[in-house]
Amino acid sequence: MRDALAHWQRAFGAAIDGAATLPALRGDAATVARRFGVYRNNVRLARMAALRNAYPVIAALVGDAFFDGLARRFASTYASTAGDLNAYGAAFDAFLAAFEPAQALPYLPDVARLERAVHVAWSAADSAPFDVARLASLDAAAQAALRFTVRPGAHALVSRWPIAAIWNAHQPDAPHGFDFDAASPPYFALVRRDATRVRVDTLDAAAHALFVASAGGAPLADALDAVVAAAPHADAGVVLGTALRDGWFDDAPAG
Amino acid sequence: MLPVRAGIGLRHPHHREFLERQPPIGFVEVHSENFFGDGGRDLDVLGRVRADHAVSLHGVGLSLGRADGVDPAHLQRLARLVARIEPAVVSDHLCWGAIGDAHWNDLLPLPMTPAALDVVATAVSRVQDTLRRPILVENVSAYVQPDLADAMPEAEFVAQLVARTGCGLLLDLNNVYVNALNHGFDAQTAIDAMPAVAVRELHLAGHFVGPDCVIDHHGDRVCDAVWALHARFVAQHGARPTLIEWDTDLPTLDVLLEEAAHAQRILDRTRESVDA
Repeated sequence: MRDALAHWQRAFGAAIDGAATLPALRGDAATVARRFGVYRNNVRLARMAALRNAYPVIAALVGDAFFDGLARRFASTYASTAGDLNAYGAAFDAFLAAFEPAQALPYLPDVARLERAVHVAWSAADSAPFDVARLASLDAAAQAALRFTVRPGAHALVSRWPIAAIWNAHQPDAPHGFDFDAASPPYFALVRRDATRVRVDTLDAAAHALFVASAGGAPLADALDAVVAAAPHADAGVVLGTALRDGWFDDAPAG
Repeated sequence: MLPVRAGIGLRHPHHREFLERQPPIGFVEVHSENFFGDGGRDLDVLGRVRADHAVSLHGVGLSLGRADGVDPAHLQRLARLVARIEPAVVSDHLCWGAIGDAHWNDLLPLPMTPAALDVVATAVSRVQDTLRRPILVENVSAYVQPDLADAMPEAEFVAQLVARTGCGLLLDLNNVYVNALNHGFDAQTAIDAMPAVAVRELHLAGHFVGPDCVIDHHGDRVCDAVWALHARFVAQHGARPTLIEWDTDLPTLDVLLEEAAHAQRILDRTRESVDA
């Protein structure tokens, strides 16, 4: 009876999730109950390890003991929805925003969003940067109509907090401490993947506008207009040149 | 086919050192799901490892025993990885870890009922049809024993699964040993009951003796009793590709290579006795 198997499996899963009633198991009840705890523990620890793997900067910011508490609470609240635990924890930012003991560090949810983007970028598709010579080969009308596509894994974030600087300060090879102007939010961060390395940069408003417009499919003329709208004193050509040099855009055929 | 030698499980903290040293090892096994991404460094590393070593893709997430059938999206990602890496062998476990939308990402014990046999045989056939190759199915350790009517011994379940699907077996000797201690049976008798001719790979690992049961934590050296089971199996049935698995409290790469060298000596001894 496949139904009996499904029923038993659902009961087993519910018991891992905390239900008091265990599925049908052989042996005396007290021993079985203690041993069933191994599964509850394994599942919780695996989820906690997945969170630690995806959110190392949050762990560095709050310390190991506090992070374990966060992860334990998250793991008991949020089910896994995929057979690959690397996908676990996407809602960590929302959890942090609502978690009362974490309110003293109001930048944690935005750092978590950044770390999620980094985590995704690590395994994004490989790609080659847009070849600047291609742009030079186009006439002015074709340049204006060109629609860039951003590299797989590239992702822009806006925050009241200097999250890119925070992230970079907590990388293994980072110098100690970092400088930022706390009085000038919003802060713009860009996550992007080179061949095998993820980078996180702080952008200014002009560069952020170029990225967002390009990622949204705007033709280059409109994207450069967006740069000027966001930062009237910016030199849009310089902003574009920096983006091309840093390899924001994909070399795949663009419209 | 894997070379009939000893191999090691390659985990993330050893990636760089492994590529730099290129240690002489029979094969390398990785967890398939850790390479399910579209690209990036981990896949790049695996491709470079694959250039010089036989690679075994060992899954922990297919959930072959889930009553509602394997997740097609998971299977497609595995198929993409298999096409990319062209591994020597693909394996997963005789267990379940999900049903419906809920996943526990663990190797949960399967009731060995005729209905479960139908479920697993259907799943294995589907995976093999998709991958266009036979897979290996591994026995798992268990801390509790399902109690459903009509259950059969694991060896009988496995023999029928092999007969129905043509899959091979990945026999984890430590898992049999752990289960024997936890559930009070003789490990050697249980191994003798398995269809040895279908066994294409052996797993060895360490375990932890806890207060309530023995836990298969893959966090220690292989114990003497499990080495003895390994020596006996290969003496009786011939050498098989043998993997050292280590997942928690990962030691240095050298410790893994020492354990693999130990396994290799056992395989070599058998080969010498066969040659003589």
